[in-house]
Amino acid sequence: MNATYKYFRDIYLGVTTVSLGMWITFRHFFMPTITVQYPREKLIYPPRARTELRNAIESCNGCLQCARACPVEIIHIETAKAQDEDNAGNMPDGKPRKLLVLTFDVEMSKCVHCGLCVEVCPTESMHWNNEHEHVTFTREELMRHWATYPPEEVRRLQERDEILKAEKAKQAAEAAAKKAAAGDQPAPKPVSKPAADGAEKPAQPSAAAATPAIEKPAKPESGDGTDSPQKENGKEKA
Amino acid sequence: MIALEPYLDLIISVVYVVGIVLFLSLFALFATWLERKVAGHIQDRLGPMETGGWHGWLQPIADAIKLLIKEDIIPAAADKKLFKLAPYLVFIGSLAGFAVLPFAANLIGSDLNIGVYYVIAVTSLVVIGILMAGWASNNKWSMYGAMRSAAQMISYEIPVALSLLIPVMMAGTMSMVEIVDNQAGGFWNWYVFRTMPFSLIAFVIYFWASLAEVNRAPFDLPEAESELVAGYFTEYSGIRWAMFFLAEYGDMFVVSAIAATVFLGGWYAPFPFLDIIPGPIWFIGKTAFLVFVQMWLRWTLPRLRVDQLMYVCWKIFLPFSFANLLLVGLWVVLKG
Repeated sequence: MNATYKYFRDIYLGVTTVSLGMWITFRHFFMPTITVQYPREKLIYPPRARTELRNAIESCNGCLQCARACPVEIIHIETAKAQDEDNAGNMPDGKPRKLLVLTFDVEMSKCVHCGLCVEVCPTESMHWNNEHEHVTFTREELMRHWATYPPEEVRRLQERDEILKAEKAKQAAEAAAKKAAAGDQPAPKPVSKPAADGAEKPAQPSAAAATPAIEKPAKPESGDGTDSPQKENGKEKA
Repeated sequence: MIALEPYLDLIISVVYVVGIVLFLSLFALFATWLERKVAGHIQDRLGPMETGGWHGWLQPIADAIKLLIKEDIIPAAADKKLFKLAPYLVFIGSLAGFAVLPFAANLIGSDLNIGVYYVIAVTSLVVIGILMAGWASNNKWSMYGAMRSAAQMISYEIPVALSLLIPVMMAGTMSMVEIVDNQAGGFWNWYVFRTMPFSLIAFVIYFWASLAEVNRAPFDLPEAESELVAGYFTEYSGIRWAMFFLAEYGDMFVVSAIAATVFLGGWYAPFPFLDIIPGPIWFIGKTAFLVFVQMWLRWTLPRLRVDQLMYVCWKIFLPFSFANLLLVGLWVVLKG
């Protein structure tokens, strides 16, 4: 009796479950498909999708934080201090622009899409641009240049910056000498500072301005430190 | 001018055979496209969309050309003669079934007085071709696939034959044309609805057993790609593989066409006033619908185990077929 019951029950279950399954697939037959005909239709990715980097250069303050956060060191930035004659204008937050971003180059071909540069950017000018088709014929085409200064203008502004820096260093040295003459301030302190520390200085103009005059003698070294990557960039650009 | 009259029958036969081969090829092309579309939409995808512009309608042509220009590989250890012969045998077994399919009252290869019996007999030829392919390939997957296929097809011949006997008993003839003629005049005269519920059960059993006959899911054990690579045609490539494929789709058409003929009124419209639409359209339409149901089932159900396959055949289909046969026989005797 039990076996008979199981036999008919199995048949009943077989018929009903097959019918149910067919009803489900029949419903799916008329459901909208989730396929996107890719080259013709494109999905809009979520805002934080790691697609391709873009820097909104007009809101970039040239702080170099992204370049330092980058684990593969593919962000190359050169800046110069803005002077009154440049009419540098204001940042989007209304404060006057302190640094001119002369070059802002990213080697997209080497980017690992870790998103650290986007996270650290204080002005949110570095962002993902929702495009993912970085397909080119040469690797050079994957180099992204966002700064708008022409090369001769970059050279002129850098030279001007050098001159101004040298002047400032001279003044600072004189001031330090005066101070040393006045008191018994130890002089070797700035000399012992590592060059790398100096290299960061142009990135933080406010910090540099706030530092006491004693550290100023380290500045010429810092100029050398930032010079070499600048030259490399120039070559890559050419 | 040569006298053509002695050869007229021969010429008509050749033309008809060429026409059927063309029809079979076209149907196979269409069915591969439809299969991929059905699979796609059931899985919320689109299927082929690029080739030919409108919903990838040229995709099967592209596939056919690809298969034709592919290298024909014959394994070094294969039994070469049998290996070459097998796909043609399978294809012939499938093509021979077309001889008695009544597309319309006078559009039939040969209205044999043993039409149904002929179909059952000739489709068994496919088993020989499949066994030959599996053996000649000298490959364990092929051999397993062929053995499974033989076991499955021979087992399911019995419920298929017993189910087909029911309309044969009701019509009192095995001729396809006469069976269809007995179903004229509206869908309530179709044999699937004549002796409710027996003939309906017979139709369902026939349809399911025919799935096993043509090695379609959920009875696709002979070519279970997750276990046997591709079953009996593992070693085949290019045009020889295409022959197997053509035969599979041809078989799908044949078994569906037989179901349409003996159960669903063949070339007759469901309502008499729709008979102005030509018979072949109704016939092919009903067949195409059943082919669609086969595809629908394939993309709905998982594959059965071997023991489940045998259980369904011998313990469910067979007793029900016998009971059906007895009861319908009683009905026919009492009524007639």
